[in-house]
Amino acid sequence: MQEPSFLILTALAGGPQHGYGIMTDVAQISGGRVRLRAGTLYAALDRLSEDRLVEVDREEIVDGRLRRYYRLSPAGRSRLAAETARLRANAAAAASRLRLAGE
Amino acid sequence: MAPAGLEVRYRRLLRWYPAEYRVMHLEEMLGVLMAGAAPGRSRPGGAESADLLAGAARIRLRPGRALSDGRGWRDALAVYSVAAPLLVLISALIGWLAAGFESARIGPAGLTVMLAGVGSGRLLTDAAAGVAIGGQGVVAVLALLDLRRWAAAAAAVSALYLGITAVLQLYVPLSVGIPISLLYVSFALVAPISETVALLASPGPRRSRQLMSRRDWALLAAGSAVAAALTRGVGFVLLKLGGESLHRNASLLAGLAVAVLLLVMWLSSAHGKRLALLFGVLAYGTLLADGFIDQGGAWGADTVNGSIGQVLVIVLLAAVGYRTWRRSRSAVGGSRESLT
Repeated sequence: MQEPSFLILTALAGGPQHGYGIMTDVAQISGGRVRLRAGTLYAALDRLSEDRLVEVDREEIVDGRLRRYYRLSPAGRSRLAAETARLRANAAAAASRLRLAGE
Repeated sequence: MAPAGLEVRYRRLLRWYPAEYRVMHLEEMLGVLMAGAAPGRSRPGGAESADLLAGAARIRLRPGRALSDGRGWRDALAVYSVAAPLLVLISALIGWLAAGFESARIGPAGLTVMLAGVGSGRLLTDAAAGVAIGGQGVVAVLALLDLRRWAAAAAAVSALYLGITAVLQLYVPLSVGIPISLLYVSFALVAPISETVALLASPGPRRSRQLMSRRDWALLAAGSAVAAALTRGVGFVLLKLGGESLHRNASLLAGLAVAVLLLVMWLSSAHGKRLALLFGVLAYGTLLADGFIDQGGAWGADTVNGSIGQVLVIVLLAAVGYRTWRRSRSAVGGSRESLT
């Protein structure tokens, strides 16, 4: 899974969010390292929805503009959990090797 | 609040997204873009513009749900059921015109060569080609008259005849060689078999009239004529313009030109993606069959060279279709709700 997709799923794991909310949350989660732009965000959301990992939660009109909220689907939650476990295992393996190399 | 000029410029950039995507997401994306714009800004930055254009390209290139949408496929097959026999017919007419010019150039000697070809072992192959093209005419007329079942029956009979011809040739020795004739017939079968399926599996010509405006039909006819001229007439034109060296590459050039036409169709919309897959198989099946006719039924080096690109496109189209089918099957989710 590509990092933007992982971060978008992570942002939505906390609850439904609209597009701009996801962008700001991703920046916060990544410590400012990843700043999604609209084109990248919506291309990723299109793919994630196609894979049925995210769903539309609700729509609102705020200041005359449409605001669409997205949420994690059950499949998205499972996928994020699996990806997190994989990354954790990789990170543990890397840390272990580094410790060995340092000794 | 950001100036109105910025919104206008964002809207202009968002026009690069597919129409069906804009219907769903334009106002939403505009809201996100405007929310993220710095106060006083009047035009999008270069990086932001590039990001939007790259996003539009990614969404246009992606097969998406277009290929797993059953209702969309029925509509695409309805259009194909009428357009395919017309396309093959236009292609054959242009081929005859090109051959006519060629014979006129060669003179009586050319006619003798043609007659000798028919009188030799090519008779069965030529008869099969005649039935294949004549059958397409009957299917096209019946489809245009809205006689869907009759058109399907005509396409099925045409396919059956070609199939029987192929089997017969296993037992009738011909100078052109049995495997070549079998291969030719197998490519020629693409049109009648796919049309039979399209006519039976879709609402047929009536639905195609609802879906297609006069402008769409005019565009399709013009596109078919251009594609046919490229595939059938291009060899003759290149021979006139550039001599034998260009003529040798006619098949490859025609294949590339059709690939460009299909790419434009693929990028246009979800409906265009489905039609590009259907017409791609038809066009490249026809191109491969043409290769045999141009080579007098011989599987020569030129035909092989020209056909490599065409076979690759067919494989690519099949791979895209298979990948999307697999993805649609493997995708799981609690909700069937989707974003587009």
